[in-house]
Amino acid sequence: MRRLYELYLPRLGRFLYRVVQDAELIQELVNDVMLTVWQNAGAFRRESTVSTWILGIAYRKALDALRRQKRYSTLVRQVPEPDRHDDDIGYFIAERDLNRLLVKLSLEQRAVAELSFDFGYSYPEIAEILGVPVNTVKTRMYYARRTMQEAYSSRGNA
Amino acid sequence: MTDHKEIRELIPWFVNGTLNESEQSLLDAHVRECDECRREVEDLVRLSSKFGWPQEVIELQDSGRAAAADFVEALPETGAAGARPAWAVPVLVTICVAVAATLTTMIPPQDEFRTRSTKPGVVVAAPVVQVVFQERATEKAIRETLLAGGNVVLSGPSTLGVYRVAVTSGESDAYIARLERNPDVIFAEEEMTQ
Ligand SMILES: [Zn+2]
Repeated sequence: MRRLYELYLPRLGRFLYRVVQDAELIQELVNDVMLTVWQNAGAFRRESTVSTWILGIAYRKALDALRRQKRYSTLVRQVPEPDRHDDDIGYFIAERDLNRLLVKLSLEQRAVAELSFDFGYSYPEIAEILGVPVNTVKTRMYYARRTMQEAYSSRGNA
Repeated sequence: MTDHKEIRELIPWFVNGTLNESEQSLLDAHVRECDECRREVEDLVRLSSKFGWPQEVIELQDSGRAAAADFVEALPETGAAGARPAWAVPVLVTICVAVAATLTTMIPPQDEFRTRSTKPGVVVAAPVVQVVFQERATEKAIRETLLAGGNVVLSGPSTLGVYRVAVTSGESDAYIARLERNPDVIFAEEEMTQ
């Protein structure tokens, strides 16, 4: 159990941070996910699937919570024009820009992007985490990519 | 020549290096001869680099991880599925939220990043207990349970059904013990102050 937390708590926080984008909801979700982990950890034997299992729980709970709150419409609302900045941008400006791109995506698309580019999962692994067919993962990424591309080029920065 | 569209869909995982061997060589060959896909690879390499985390955050996460490990280390061995220590969840949540909150404050305020944790808070000196009920619990039962003994419900139910109840100082253990005997209650823990 100790190792489980050592390994996965930071990843869980990172995943929810990017995918949920709502600090208050993240707090509730972490609580809820960890409770589920405590209650079910005894059932898990295969080390290789623990990570995908926890992220899968987090994904489903985030999706449920957001659906219940019907927040989709506000999450995908218009994003203000980004400020121009120099080439030696600090990390936090980069993070802000990334969030401007991510906020245009659906939660499902953000999850695919985050799991691919931050966590470095393969598409079959992502399919397992999200509980969807591999083709759905590819399709979500395709549209996520297209949306981000449009957002990116519309500000003359592609 | 292989299907350009099919190849293009795989590029994100070509970039993160997780394709299998045959896909990998397929992509290698295609990208060499297709300008459009080569540009897509370059774009995605740039985009994916934005998803990395800075050293400050990694260090913060590590310190949170160490703290979490200390807490969990101190737990009695339970082994059985379903068992959980009484206070571990709030402790771990506090650590995780501290990481998230630090991330949030380090990032310049922005419209679309709706952080509401900084809203003007009510300072509560009394211990706060978080309570979650079974779905079958009636509103009347919930009200009676929460308000027994003159406690004050601060907020709830949240999206996840969490009620936050202010309890008279020194009485939270007895309150939680009572809640745990209540079959309608699935979660009752004292909230850790941050
Ligand atoms: Zn091509």
